[in-house]
Amino acid sequence: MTALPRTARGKRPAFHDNPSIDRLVSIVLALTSEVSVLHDRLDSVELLGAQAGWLGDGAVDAFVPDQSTRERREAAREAYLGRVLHILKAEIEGLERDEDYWATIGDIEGGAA
Amino acid sequence: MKSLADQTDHAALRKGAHDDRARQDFAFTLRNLVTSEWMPSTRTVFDKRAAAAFARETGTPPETPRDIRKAMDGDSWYRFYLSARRTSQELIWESVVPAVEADVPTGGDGADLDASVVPPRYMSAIDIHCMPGGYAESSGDGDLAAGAVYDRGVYLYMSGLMGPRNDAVGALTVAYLKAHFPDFAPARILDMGCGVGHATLPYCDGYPGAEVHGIDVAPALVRYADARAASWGKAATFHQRDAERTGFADRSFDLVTSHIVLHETSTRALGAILAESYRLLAPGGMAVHIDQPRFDGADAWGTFLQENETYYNNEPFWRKYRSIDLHAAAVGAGFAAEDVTLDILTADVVQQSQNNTKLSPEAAAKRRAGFSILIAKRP
Repeated sequence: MTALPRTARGKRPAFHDNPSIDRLVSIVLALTSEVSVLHDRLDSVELLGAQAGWLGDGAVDAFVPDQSTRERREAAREAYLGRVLHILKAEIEGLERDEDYWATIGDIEGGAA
Repeated sequence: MKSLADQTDHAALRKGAHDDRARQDFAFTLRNLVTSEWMPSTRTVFDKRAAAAFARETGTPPETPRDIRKAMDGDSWYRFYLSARRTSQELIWESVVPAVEADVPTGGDGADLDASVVPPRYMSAIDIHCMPGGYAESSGDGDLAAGAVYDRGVYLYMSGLMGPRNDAVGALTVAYLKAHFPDFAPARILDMGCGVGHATLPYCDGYPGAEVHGIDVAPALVRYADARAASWGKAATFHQRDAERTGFADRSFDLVTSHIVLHETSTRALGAILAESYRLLAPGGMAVHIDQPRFDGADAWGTFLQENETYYNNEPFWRKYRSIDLHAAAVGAGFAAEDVTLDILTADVVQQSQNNTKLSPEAAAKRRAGFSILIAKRP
């Protein structure tokens, strides 16, 4: 089997003060990818099992989803990412609401309604 | 923005087995999230937090792209976005390479290869778009692997908006030429930096009588282009040649094109490629080069975001390219000033490649977001 390169030339930029965070981002997203793969795999097994009533050798690997299945899975993956990565969206929503937690505490402690 | 129309199969395309495809589907979804949802959110971070922090620190609000970069580099959400974006790019290749490795396509014997062509430094020093091995990766005669990695990777990278045949940019350009130059009937067409022929093949359909040639320095891409075209029954000839010195005769083409190529070259190569375009054109011929537009000097935010391609996505020439006056460059290459025009091509695929903000179709049209099209005629 041909061995192709897995790493691009060009020094990888560092994004965080602690390089471990860069590593963590890579690892978490790779792991997220694997969970997505598992999800899709199981979905295929269920689909094929339901359709045929049995599971032949190589049936899952040979299975190519049709357009409606592709669209359904895309929507499911988007929802899945929305859950796993919710914390990032939550922060943006907080910014959009101009949330200031301690200012609110101050208001409440100061006797505001 | 995305399109779920599946990539059209051909003899050399390798989508891989079930789990390869599932991994690619995930990379597609994540990439679209990062570009379509998170990238626009960077503006919220800037407006609500980073700009104010910069102003507190320096005493003045951020105004230039450099100021904005300094302001944003200090923000932890933005940094997380950047690192996730980089990783989403890497996951595309990680999902594609094993599928090709397991079943490397063969063929492409119709390609005109020349082992003496040396990939230029702008291609060999840094792997553009972080594609491992780069365009010029080749294990020797008969290797198509880099072409297969690139073909699948481009489809995922562009969220399907390049179309099922990855040919949206070529098709868009052909449609533009048909609309603006209805009487133009080139007999010989040369597509420079053709890669695997994504933008080359639409010319076979657009100009059925014409002889269509594509050139690239990368041998595996040229071979793959030949195998791909043959599989679809398209008559185009692919050569391993350098666009700076193609070796074709003076005045031997009526149309010389390139599609999203120039920004992947260098300041020196850009002038040489335009001069070679001029040399190759027969009287009445036209050079048409499509690429990202010049930065809008008034749009500091857009410039800042776009410059990130050079900072974080192995695009060594992107930032410099987008400050260059192409009209002047074409005149410097031999074209007469009155024979050179610049226009804008708009389409979804263009906005995806520049998506710095969420725009309605009306707003996008008004802003004229699009590729820049350089048209240089030789009377």
